Parts: sequence; C-alpha cells; structure tokens
Amino acid sequence: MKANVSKPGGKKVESLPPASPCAGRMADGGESGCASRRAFLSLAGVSLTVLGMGGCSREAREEFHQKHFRELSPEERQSIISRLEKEYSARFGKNVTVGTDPAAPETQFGYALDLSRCVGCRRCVYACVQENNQSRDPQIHWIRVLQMEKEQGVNIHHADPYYAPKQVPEEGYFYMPVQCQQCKNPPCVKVCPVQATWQEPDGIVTVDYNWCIGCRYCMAACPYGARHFNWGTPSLAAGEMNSETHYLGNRPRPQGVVEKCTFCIQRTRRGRYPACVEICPTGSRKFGNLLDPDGEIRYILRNKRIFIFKEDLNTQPKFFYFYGV
Amino acid sequence: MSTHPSNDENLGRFTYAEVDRDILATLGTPGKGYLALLLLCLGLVALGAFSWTYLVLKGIGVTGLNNAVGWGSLITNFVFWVGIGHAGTLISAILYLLRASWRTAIFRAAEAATIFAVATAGLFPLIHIGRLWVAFYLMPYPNGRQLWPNFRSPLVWDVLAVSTYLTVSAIFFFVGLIPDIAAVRDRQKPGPVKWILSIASLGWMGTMLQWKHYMAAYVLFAGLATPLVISVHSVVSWDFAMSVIPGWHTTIFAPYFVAGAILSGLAMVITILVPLRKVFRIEHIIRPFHFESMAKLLLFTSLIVGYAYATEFFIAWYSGNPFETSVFVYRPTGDHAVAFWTMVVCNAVIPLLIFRSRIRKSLGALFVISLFVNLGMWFERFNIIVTSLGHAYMPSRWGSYTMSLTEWGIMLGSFGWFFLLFLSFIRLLPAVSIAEMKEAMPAPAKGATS
Repeated sequence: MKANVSKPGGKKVESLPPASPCAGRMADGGESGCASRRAFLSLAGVSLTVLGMGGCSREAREEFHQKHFRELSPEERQSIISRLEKEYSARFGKNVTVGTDPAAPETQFGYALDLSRCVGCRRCVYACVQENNQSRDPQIHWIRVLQMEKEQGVNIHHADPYYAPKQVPEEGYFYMPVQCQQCKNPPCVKVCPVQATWQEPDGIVTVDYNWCIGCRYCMAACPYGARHFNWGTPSLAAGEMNSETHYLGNRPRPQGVVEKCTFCIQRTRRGRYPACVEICPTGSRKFGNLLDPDGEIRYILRNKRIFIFKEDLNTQPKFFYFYGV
Repeated sequence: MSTHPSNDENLGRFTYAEVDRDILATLGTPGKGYLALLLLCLGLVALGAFSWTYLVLKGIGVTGLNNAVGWGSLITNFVFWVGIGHAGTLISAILYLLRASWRTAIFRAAEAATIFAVATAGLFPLIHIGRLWVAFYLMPYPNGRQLWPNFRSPLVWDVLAVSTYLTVSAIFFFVGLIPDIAAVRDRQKPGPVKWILSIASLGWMGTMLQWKHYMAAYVLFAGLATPLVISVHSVVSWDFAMSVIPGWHTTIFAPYFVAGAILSGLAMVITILVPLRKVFRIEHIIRPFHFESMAKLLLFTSLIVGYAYATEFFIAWYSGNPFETSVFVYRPTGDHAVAFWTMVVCNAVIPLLIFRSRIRKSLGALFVISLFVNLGMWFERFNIIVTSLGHAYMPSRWGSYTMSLTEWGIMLGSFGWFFLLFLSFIRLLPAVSIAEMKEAMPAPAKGATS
C-alpha cells in the first residue's frame, strides 16, 4: 500500500482550517426555532393523520403524504418542486430554484485526483460547503483531507485529518482528500432499509431527504466516512445560501437526515464541473465521463499509476487516485 | 389437610387447593412496598417520555452521538432488551419440548419477562432514528404504489424478525394462560372484571376435549417458537455482521449473540425471581433447585460467550488485517477500555464461580452474579457498537462517545417501562402456571380434602 509521492510544484499555499474533531456534532444541543417548528409540524402531522387530519396546514399534509421521488408522476413532481421552491424562497428571501435534471444517457461520471499535486489547502472543502448548502453550525464537510507521511505511504494509521499549519504543504507529507467514492457496489445503498438512497443511471449515489428516516445505517456501512448526519437543524444563513439547487443534491436539508457528496449533481448534470474541481489551485482534481473514450479520465486511467482506496473491500469506486508527476 | 408425595421431588408436595391458594394469593390487595415500586416505575417512565420528547423536538444532536459514533446507547439498549427477551421462550418452549420438568414453576414469569423485554426493545429503533414520524416507511405496509422497503437491508430483516418473535411469544404466552385465566375467572364475583376474564379465557371449561385440543396447540406453538429463539438474535447480530466494519464483519456473530442473549435473559430471570418468590411467599413453589438449574444453563452460555471473546481476538491477529487488528487493540486499551473489561469480567469470569456447588446453591450469591451479568451484557453491546464505529476505516471518523443526560433519561425510562409492565402483570395474572403445577402432581387420592 506504500505510495511513492513526489514533491508538489514547490509553491506554498495558505491552508484553511480543518473540521473540528467534533465537526457535525451539536455543541450545545441548541438550535433555531424554525427547526423545532418543522419537527413539531411533522409530529403533529402524524397525530392529526390519526384524528382525520384536522387543523393541519395543507403544505404539511402534502409533505407528509409525499411519495418516494422515483415513484412520482411528472405532475406530482412538478407540484412538489413548486411547493419546495416556494418554501425555500420564503425562508431564504431569494429566488431559489430546485432542479430535477435527470441523468444524461451514455454517462458514467468518474473522478480522478492527483496525489502528487494536492497540497492540502482545503480550498475544495470550503468550496464544497458553499456550493452544496451544508450546515455551517454544526459544521458538515463532505470532503475530509488526510495528511499522510511520505515515509508511510497511504497508511491511515499514520494519517492526520486535523493538521493545521500556517502554510501547506509541509515537508515530508502528502495530502489525500477523501469524499464519496461513488462506488459501483455501494455498501451504503445496500443497507438502507427504506430505499431512500440509490445509484442514479449516471453512477451518482443520491439521497431523497424526504424519504430518509435517519437510522444512520449507511454511515456505519460506508468505509470512507462519506456520509454525514444532520444532528440538529442545519444552520445556513440566507446570504450564504446557494439558490441554484437540485432535489437530489444541494437543496436545504431538514433535521435528522443523512447527506453526502453528489459530484455536485446540480452542476454536473448541466455540463459544469463540480465546485471542488473548479476551485482546486493545483489542478489536482479531474472529472469527466468514464464512457467517453477520448475523455481526460480515460486518458488518466490508461496512462497513469492508479490507486483505488480500500480496493480490498470490493466497493468498486468511480473515484481514482493517481500519481501524475 | 393431607399432602401427597409428588412424582417429582423437585416440584414439592402440595394439594391442588394449596396450589390455587398460594399462587392466587399473589393477586390479592397490593402492599405498600408494591405501590411504592409501582410509583417509582411510573416516575421513571415519565422521565423517559420527557427525554424522548426532547430528543424528537431538538434532534439526535442532544445525544452524545457524533459522526464517528453514530450508533450508541440507544442501539445498545435495543440489543440489550432483545437479549433479555430470550430466556422466557427458551424456558417455556425449548425446555418444554425437551421435557425438562423444572421449567414448570418458573416459565410463566420468564415468558412475561420476555414479552415485556421485547416490547421495550421495540421502542429503541424508533427512538434512535432521526425522523420518528416517518418510521412507518420501515414496514412493508400495503400501498397502491408497490413500494417496498429494501429487503436487502438487515435492518428490515430486523424489523420482521423482532415483530414475528414478539407476536409468536405473545400468542404462546396467551395460550398458556387460558386455563389459568379461567381459574381466576371462577373466583371472581360477577362484574366487569369477571366479564373481561370470561372473554379472555375463551370459554374455557376444562373439559376433556378442550384439554386435548389445548395440549396439541401448546406443543405446536412450542415448536413454532423454538426456531424463533435462535433466529431473532441471529438477525439482530446481522445488523452488525453484514456491514464491512472491522469488529462487526465476522461469521461468529450469530451464535455469539444468541448465546449472549440467553445468558443475559437467564440473568434477568434470576434477578427478578429471587425477590419475587420472597415478596409473594411462594418460596416453596419456586425453589433453590430451580435456580440451580438456571445457574447451570447460565454457566454454559457464559462459557460460550467467553470462548467467542477469545475467538474474536485470535481471528483479528490471525487475519493479519490491519483494521481488524487495530480495533481489537483499541478495545482493551482505548477510550472505552472500562466497557471492555467490565464485559470480560462480568460475563466470562464471574459466572465461573457457579462451578462451585456451594455458590450454585446459594440464592444470594446467584442474585449478585446475575446482577453482574446484566451489567456485563449491557457493556458487551456497548463495546461492540461504540468501539467498532469509533475506530473503523477513516481517521477523520475516529472518535469517542459519552452518553448524554437525555440518553440516561431514556435508558432509565426503559427500565421503568419494563418493570412497570412486569409489576402490573404479577398483580393481574398468576405468575406461576396453576394448570401446569397441578399437571405435574399426582392425581388426588380418594377421600383427600381437595
């Protein structure tokens, strides 16, 4: 498992802070009133269903009776989207759009990351947070960067996710960002008891936040630590909210559901790169269609030394690490 | 009053009338101690209900859980209570089929403990999930859109296994109760209670034909319940064994969990019965011999569990898998070493004392041992769940976990709930089977007083 990693281009980059050791955990259990209202409404929904659905708002009723995303007819989908757009726009005070762009035919998204170039600046981590509307407090980071010793190679027992020097890269270390590997054989999908998470035709593993019951089995099953739970209501300031969203991706999440990297489904299905690819200052991150024989990903797979993380678990990732230099 | 020599020395010597009198005496006017206990349990249930409400409103963040350790005390309690619910059906069904006559005096109480424990366990998955109000997505309920839960998920197997076990155990329990409900009914003055009991006893008159059908049904249910004792905890163990987490992903989990469940169930039955026989003065019915038999079974399952602990470590070393090895170094030396050593000492070391016949025959000693096993089995589940999740594949997902006050409230509430159900049961229905006690005695001689 030793990786022989050569030096990155010599340029020093300012590093951004790591996630705190308790990232994603509520510090004090406190939260805004809005979330409790939501939870309360849903609870009330249950009780009132029994009582013949008396004085419950129409929206709450509709949300409670909403079908699984893959079971919706086009009309039902449209009505749900307009309900969500109305709700989000009111909450964040701007025009929020919720896309449902389907997977393009003949597409399997793949990702490659150059371990020899990555300097561990964590720009991707924060670009991802901004793009995908993760909770700021408690923090949720879909990408975690591991600092590894060059002496040890890829050895997670000698890896540090909490490194925090003024400048990166540090002498003697290399950096390995880990995010959802979009496995072809995803252990997380297999264990979900309610089919709230599944693999789309273009290979992206997605979550229907309206169907997730929050049992956290997928988090236990994922060997990459790629899934994150909303321990309380995610806090997201209106000013920081990215209003271009996708139903299966970065739309605002409720309390008590699991979320994960979707290769920026709201961007990539419209022909753009994921936010982490765009922001990377060293060009370590490559993204494209695995089925395109002339694509960059295929070139890398053909010509570079490829490392598949935790290959022995047979998860068959579509995320490849390589040594470019 | 004449006494009759019993066929079975171990069951004591009684007349039919004495059996009726002594067992039905438990249904009399409750004493002050009983009411105080009932009040305590009610208080704990109120605490649990309050904590759960707080958890639902605020989100799972009010527990000590975090992204590293996403399953904690709630799942620990779930497995703990399902485990407790194993001794009852083992004693009532398996020992019935094996014709172990010593089960007669104790099976009813054990069976009740089983049902109440499984009913308690069933609450925990609901408490654990992030969105309680959509918990029904887990059930394969009939709907117009052919949408099923994911049958590949061990969690769905779990829902099915536990609810099947609860249903069959409850039916078996109820079938066994029919003649006794009739006995209670016959002593009631006319009124609403008698009316309810008449319905519950399904018109039992004790005729020859009724007994014939009853015995056939009882054997059938015993046969149906027996495989479930094995299957339910095997399925619970697969919740863990089916995922690739080091320390979980192992083939010994099913037998290891079943043995552990029976161990903890027997311990709980001993914990309950030692004070019960004293308070209700039925020491001559539930006798030291019964405890000795249970103690032997407890020792046997404890040896299996101890062997499983050793096997896990051997395989972790022998496999050469760095992640597996790392978890098994972490368990006895890491953040939760106390849980690990409590588990080993309470489950695999202290029960070895039962090898001494003096200890086996002392109720006081067995009571203390059973308390230790209860504690140890709780920590076994805690150890398996928390240390594996907190030290698995990713250093960004390594972390520790401490129970929050909310979780303590919920856990205490679950104990209150269990004992509340049990206390209500012993006042409402005979805690020892009258019919089976009589069955085990020789028929009364001509001219005897009863």
